[in-house]
Amino acid sequence: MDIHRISRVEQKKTRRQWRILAVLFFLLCGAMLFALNTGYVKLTPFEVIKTFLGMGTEKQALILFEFRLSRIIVAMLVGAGLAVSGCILQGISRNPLADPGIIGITTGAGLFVIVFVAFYDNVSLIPTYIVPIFAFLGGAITAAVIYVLSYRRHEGLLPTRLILTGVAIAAALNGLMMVLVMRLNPKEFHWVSVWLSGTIWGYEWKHVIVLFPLILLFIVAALWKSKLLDVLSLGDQISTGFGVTLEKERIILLAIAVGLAASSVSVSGGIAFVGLIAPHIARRLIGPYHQYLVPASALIGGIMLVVADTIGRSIIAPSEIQAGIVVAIIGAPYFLYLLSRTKV
Amino acid sequence: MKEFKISKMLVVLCLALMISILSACSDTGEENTEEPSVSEETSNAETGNTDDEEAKEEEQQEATTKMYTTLQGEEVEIPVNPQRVVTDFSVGALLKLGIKPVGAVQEYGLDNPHFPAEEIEGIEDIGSSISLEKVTSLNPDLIITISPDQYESLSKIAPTILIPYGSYDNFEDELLAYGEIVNKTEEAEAWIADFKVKISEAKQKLEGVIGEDETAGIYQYYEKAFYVYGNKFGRGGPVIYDLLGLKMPDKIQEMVDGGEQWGNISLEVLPEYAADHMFLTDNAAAENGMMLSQEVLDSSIYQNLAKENEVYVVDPDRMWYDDPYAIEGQLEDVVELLLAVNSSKE
Repeated sequence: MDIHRISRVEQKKTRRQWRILAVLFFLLCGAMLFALNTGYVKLTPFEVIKTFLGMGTEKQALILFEFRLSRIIVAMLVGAGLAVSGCILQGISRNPLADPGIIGITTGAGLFVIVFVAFYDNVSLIPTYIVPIFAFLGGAITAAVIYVLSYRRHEGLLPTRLILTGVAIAAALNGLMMVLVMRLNPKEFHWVSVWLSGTIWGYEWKHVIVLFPLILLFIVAALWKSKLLDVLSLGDQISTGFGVTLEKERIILLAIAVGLAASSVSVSGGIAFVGLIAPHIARRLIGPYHQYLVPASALIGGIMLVVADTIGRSIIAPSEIQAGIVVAIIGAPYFLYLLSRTKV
Repeated sequence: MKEFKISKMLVVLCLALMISILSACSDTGEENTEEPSVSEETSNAETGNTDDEEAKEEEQQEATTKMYTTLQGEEVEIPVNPQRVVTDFSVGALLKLGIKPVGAVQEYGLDNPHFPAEEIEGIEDIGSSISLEKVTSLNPDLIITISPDQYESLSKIAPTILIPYGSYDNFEDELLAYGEIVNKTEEAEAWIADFKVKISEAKQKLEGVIGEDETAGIYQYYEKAFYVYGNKFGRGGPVIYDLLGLKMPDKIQEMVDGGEQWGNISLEVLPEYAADHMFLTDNAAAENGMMLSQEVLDSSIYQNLAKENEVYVVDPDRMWYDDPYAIEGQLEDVVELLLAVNSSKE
């Protein structure tokens, strides 16, 4: 294990990796512009520009600023949050299947949100910033249970065990959610089913205001811990050899991952595939170093969800296909393709 | 290096594919529908208005808007005589008052088996998750919603009144509230008076057929468990208990007195909750064209129950709603069922 050689190769690659990040950034901007031009009400790019300059009609401004733009930004943030969350989980568990959806963290967070919303008489009176707190609580409890169950004192975190425990817990939580369904009145019933299939429901500016600092903060935290993620993904024994205090660091990273997933879930349903696929695509594009992997995952996750949500809300308008379903339909074949090409 | 290039190309290809699929779809959408666009719809609405401009001018001498205090205690300025109402759920109440909404949710607002097809013809679907863009393009002058989480967004489009599900204790208060909103109080009162006659007629028909001490229960089979319901949870409860005055079996009465409108019970304890007249639905079976799952029909507990009590297997879609059309229909359904089975028995 020649660390020096690795870091030298890394330096050589730096420029190329920055270039990839720049390309991804422009793709994200392109996806957002495209999303802005798409919707039930047809607006030409010219009308969009006019509206942005403040010369559009009142209704055009309403649709663009209040309904579309905020929603697109929320989609981007949710995608980025889930992707980085998955990226961290895959790093600390050394398991390529780890994803906040698959191991039940989003379900746990979502369950808390739903319980909270369902037993609150008037949802519109709930302060928006409270919901992420509940989501985090639910996600953290789930993550703690999974962690305790998949940890062995002398072997560390067992990757396979983590996935299996997570899947089992996710199934149990989904069951709980089905029980809740019977408790609810017709409208809320609809709401739960929408959650289960993964839609973005909080798309007003107030959600952007709450979500943006949270996601930004956690992603910066993940970047700050990116070297540590590199070391942790080498395995427990090697990491201990580097003098990393495993337990503490891993819990911090897990908390960041939960924070990202929970923030995302506080405005969206259970969108499963983004956290799994985005880091894989990112890894193939940019290599295994988390310093680049984290921002690349965030950008790819953002692109995926902006595009998926745009397709979902326009393809059968005025009804919507949940963004989670669109991601699964488009993402699954690509993921299978990736798997078939991986030499493992 | 090579691999990287390929996968990068693949990403770009994937994106290109998504975009082309999407643009293809939006193209066909353009051809099929009459190209919904805000500016166009606005001009439509304007030309529509010029037709009855005279009438409007007359009205203008009086106030054209009024202040309405919502259930949440907010003052909302709404038109006195709304012309273009959009609602998600409250289609039945509005239709009964002679107001045909311009838009409603197909899935749980319009798909109501009690509505005559011609009365809901032309009401546009606003999407099950309520497409704000679609609502905007319909140019509503009043929006009535049961959805608290969409309330804020909707009120940016037009004056919006939020009436959460189950806000009113009975159908009279509810319809009168709608009557006040859309300036149709007389129509509301007329229908209520009319319906009260129907209720007393129905009660008369049942007199002598259904004894005063006989009980009725509402049951649903779902995911291998039974559920019982009280009088305020749709599913025919308002009609069977509140309007026809049938009694709940002790166990269900206990539950309702305890503040619960539903309870989850297993097949084994179902006999304890049994009533003389048992209204049973099975959503899952109904979706497959059967009324009741085989596993229920085969169970000895069910067979015993059916021997000792009257079990009516009813269509969940007809029992689910509780708007004026639905309770009218349910009143007929329930009376018909009770008479058909019990009058021959005597």
